[in-house]
Amino acid sequence: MNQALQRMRQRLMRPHIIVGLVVLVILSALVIVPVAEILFESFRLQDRDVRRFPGAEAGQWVLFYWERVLASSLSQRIFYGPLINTMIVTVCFTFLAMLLGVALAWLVARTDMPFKALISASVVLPYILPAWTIALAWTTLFRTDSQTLGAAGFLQTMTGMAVPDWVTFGLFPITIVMVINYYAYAFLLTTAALSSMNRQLEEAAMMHGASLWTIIRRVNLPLVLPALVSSFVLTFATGLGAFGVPYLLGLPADVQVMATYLYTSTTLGRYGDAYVLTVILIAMAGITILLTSRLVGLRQSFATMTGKAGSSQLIPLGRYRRVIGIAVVTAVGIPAFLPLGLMALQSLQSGIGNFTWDGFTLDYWIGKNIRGFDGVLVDSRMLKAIWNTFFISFVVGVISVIAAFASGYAVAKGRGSRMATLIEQVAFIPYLVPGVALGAVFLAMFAAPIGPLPSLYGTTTLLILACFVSQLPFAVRSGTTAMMQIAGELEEAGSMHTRSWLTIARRILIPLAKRGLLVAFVLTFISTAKELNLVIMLVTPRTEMLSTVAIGFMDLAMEQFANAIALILVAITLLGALVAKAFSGDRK
Amino acid sequence: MPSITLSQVEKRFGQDVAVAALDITIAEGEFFSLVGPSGCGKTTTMRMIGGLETPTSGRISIGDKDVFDAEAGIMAPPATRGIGMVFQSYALWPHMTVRANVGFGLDVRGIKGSEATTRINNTLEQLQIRHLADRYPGELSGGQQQRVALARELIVGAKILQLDEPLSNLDAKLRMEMRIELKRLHAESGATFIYVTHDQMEALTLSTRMAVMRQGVVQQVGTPREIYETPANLFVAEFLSINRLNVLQGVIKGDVVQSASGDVPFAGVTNAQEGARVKVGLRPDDLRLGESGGIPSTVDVSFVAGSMTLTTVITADGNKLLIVEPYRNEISAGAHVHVLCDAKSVLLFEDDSELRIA
Repeated sequence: MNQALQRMRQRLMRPHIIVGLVVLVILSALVIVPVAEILFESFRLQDRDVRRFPGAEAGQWVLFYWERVLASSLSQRIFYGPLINTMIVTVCFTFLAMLLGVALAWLVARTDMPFKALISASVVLPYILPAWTIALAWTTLFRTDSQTLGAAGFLQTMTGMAVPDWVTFGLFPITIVMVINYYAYAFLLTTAALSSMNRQLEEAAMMHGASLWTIIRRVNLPLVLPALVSSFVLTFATGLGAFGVPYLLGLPADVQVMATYLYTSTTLGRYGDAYVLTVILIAMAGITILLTSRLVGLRQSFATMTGKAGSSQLIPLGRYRRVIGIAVVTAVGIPAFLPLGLMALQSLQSGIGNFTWDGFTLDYWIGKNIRGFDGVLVDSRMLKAIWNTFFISFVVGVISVIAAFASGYAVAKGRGSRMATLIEQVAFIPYLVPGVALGAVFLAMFAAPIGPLPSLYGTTTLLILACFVSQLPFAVRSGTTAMMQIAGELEEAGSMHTRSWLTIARRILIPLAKRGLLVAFVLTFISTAKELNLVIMLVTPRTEMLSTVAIGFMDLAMEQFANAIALILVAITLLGALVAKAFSGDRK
Repeated sequence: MPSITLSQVEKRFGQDVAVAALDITIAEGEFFSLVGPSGCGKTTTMRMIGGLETPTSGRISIGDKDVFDAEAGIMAPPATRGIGMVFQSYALWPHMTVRANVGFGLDVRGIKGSEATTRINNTLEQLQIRHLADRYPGELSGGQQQRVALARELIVGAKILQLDEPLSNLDAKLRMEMRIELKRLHAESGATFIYVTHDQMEALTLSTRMAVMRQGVVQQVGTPREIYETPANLFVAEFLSINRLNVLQGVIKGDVVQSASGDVPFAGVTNAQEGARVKVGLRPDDLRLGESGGIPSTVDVSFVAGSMTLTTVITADGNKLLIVEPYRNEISAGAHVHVLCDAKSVLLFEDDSELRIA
């Protein structure tokens, strides 16, 4: 008995087991428990609905919310309408984004088209920006004087031409703007797969007399398939959870998607409905991803099957080379750079859409008392929001890096063990949970005190926790990548000299993983700074962040402020992206 | 001082037995090689001695101290075992200079300042890499990295040094040089070396004693000479044969083995029964070609390789034999020759168990 205990103790006392167990406990508390909690809550009577049922008590088990969402006279408005809109947007958006992304990737990776660097930058830029900024610019460009605000947009002021209403607001602009925002997924993943593909694989097929088509079908496609599947999953899940873009471009035309309706129901105080919608949204994302990986039979080994790129021969485009290049640069450049110009222009105009020389003003940046607000660079509430954004993003970045290091170590060291797999799987769950839904989960979980913990509602702690969870999939993956190369003989060589794992971590593991961890910090920082979907569910006036303040100004029809704030966020994210790029480059 | 004893040490990964019930004693100051084909359990054995792998059962002691005992629940951490280890990849920390890599062991043991500097310089001197002290591992050649890895372990005065395939990443010429270097370091340091390799030449030339392993089981332990001359079984004979061992099947008749290729004489004490089925092992360098007698054959290919002439012949029943002789003129293909062997050099193995009987 004693021996068995001794042996058990030995097994458990190894550093990666201890680290792994700690990581697993924290992950479970922050991911599994809240998701389970919201499932329960969707079946329990909420406080405000108690009076509907004489004699009932809050917290009692009911099917009321599920019935109201799925089978009542309100269902069309609450669920089926938004569901259909969500499906239309997601399917169209995914199809277009994949098509464009893959085609561009092929042009950039495999042909001799000119301006490749500029094209890549133009595809990636909208992806780095907060998603809703392009939507903001879209309204600035296309709105007409016959719509809600009665103000003409840039296009109408300049040319006198009014576009039809469905171009400005509704499903069409939502889909197009989302494509601009996210076709970078397919582009980046496919480019990486195509350019790391071993040229000799194609040459071998060529030696056997395979035609170009056969090579593409039999050699290239199977090798890029994992990249295609990953980008499909990312794109599709993004479409299901999209909030900012449909909020700005859908609501004015009374077009609701599931994420916006989820938000609406919480603002109406209908938490029960919100929980039901959350559960359905998570299930939809989860089922899609499971089905995809099952159908394609995703085999991860492919993803790593890269070789030396060699002097890869580029396919010549012939005499149309320049024409194609210029056409592509224009097509991807305009949606990338024009929005920035429009935002700057709008933030400097006294009237909405009223673009005139006389209308130029710096009021919205540094002015005093414009309809009750000061300019964004001087208003105290705005400065508070800037501080909140920096503080929350910084803390989330720091915690994410610690999580990345710890989980990366446990996963890399315990490669193939049940614990390593479990950590990876649990950390992947937040991917399945759209931002608005994750916000709802945390709202349900932490609005009331849990045991000794006080209620976290309205605190920055809650925002930090929620943002941290949404960054988990990325943090764990980047941590694993960073630690894979280190945890092994380099660590063991240290353990021959010292018993203290902390010394090994401090002297060997951390210095080696430093760069990777720094990049992870910057990326989680900017992705938190521009977060909207999640934080809009959780902010209170005291904890406002830049993105929620901007959306608030849109609701107040003070678009100049919104545009000014958007530009500040753009500056923060671009700066962060450049820092990350500088650190992740030139490795020894 | 530290002799190393492994008793009934076993390592299982789930259902797979990586190392089965191992009993080995390594005396102080030995150059002991663990040798065998890849996957035979030699690296696992070394890692269990070093404390990097926990055995499933058994006991390991170093000197008079138990460092592992499954029954008593003892598992001493690697750093407490007084063992230095040179990894196959060298495992040099890429973010530290050569000096910092070599000095790491002193530093974590609290030896700092001028004493550390002196010891580092001396060790670098000993391994002839003093001029590389401020370089990073990425800026060194394979051979130089190898020396740094050795210096890092030797500097702390480890009484036991484990080396995992240390020469496998070097080119042939450098490998020869480093073999000599290792032999010199072994003599100078007086430490016990445990050496893992799949290269039988390395094991035969470097070791004072060696263990041949196969699929987790030790086949034979002994000096290189013992094992080479009296292999325990056919596997050991084949594995250690520098040129491919020729194997024939036959039946014992008096003082010869009758095989379909021809009669092979044998000598030495044998408990083989008349008429027993056996396998015959003929080392290529023990065979000669002659005009008559022996095994009649036809020359297949013959070529000169420096001071040797290698010839392959085909026997009457279609067996292919390799013969390695001191230099002689090549023989044209198709010529009829007779393969002769000395009865004392013939190895005989039982047909089923493949254990050696003579």
